[in-house]
Amino acid sequence: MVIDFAEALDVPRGRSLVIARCCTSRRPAGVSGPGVDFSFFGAVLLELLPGIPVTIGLTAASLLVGGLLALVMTWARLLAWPVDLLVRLFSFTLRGSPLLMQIFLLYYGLGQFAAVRDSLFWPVLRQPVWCAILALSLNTAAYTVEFLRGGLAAVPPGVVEAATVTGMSRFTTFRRIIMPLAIRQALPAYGSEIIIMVKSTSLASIITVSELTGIASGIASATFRPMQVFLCAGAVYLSINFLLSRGVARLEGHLDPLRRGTLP
Amino acid sequence: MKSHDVAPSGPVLSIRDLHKNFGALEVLKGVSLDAAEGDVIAIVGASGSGKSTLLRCIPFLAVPSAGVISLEGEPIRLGVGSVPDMRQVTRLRKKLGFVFQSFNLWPHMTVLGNVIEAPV
Repeated sequence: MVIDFAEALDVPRGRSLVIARCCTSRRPAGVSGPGVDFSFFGAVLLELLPGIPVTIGLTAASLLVGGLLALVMTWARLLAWPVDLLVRLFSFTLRGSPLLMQIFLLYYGLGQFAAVRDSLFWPVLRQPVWCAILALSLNTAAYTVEFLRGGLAAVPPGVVEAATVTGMSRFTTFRRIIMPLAIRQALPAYGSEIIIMVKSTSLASIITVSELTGIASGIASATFRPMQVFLCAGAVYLSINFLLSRGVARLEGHLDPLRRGTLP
Repeated sequence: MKSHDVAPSGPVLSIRDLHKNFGALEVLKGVSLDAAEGDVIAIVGASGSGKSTLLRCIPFLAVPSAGVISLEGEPIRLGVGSVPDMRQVTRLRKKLGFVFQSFNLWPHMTVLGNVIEAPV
């Protein structure tokens, strides 16, 4: 049995044939039960490769935009209490509702309004990738603003006074004393947020973004081997997150003078 | 304080009729003090008598309610509502040293980093 995978997967014909051949290969005679076809894993991994930059790109873009947004909000909420209330409301709403629903609202919901369709933002908002980045950015900003608040609250007031009495200006105190301590405090929690963001990008597949999960589910429905395909995709996510968590651990060590340089 | 920084005559630090109150509680009721170069001065008093408040007033960690503090003959100006000129205060702070009761070291810096950040 040979299925036309090229059409099902929308991939170059030559490559999909690799999978097709793997699928039709027979189990060795005498082996009972479902055999494990290792060449199939290799073929699936090859197909998943183009999804890796998409997943990483979605993560990086939303962490960057969301992080900047969170910094601005953290600064703005110190200015006046109505701003603080707005930030709290934003954080409560976006942390309290499902990310998938936020993606749906942006991708399906916004197009409902003629004003949005006629606006100059429409060329951006009509594209699933940008909708996904926007939703992910807003979502991670809502969490990051809380991490930063916690980090700033954990800076001991005496340490700030010590900087003041040394003759540091308010900005220098913030840059050299408050921010490094706040970041060091918030980094372990933010490391988890990075990992969660990598996994959250899989929701973008629902609005047709061809990232890891999107490609994987395409292969799974074409080959009827969801177990192998999703195990492969899961392993890729795991590898990405392994590297990221090691990176964060190194950074944590670097920010702590007692541990600086002692981590592998 | 290096000798060439200071005019040979007059105190390095001079405090005149310093008042400080926290709401209705009056802590400092007109303290005056002159410190010449090389002086070692001990301030003795019971718990809560205002020793720390006096010390905190000198680098304006606590803003005095009234009175004049002069460093090397330069008085720190108090504007309307006892608001000091923060740029002047920041400049003068760089000439002062201050050790806190609980040290308040910067935990993200090394010993060397903590030491060289202070005015030398």
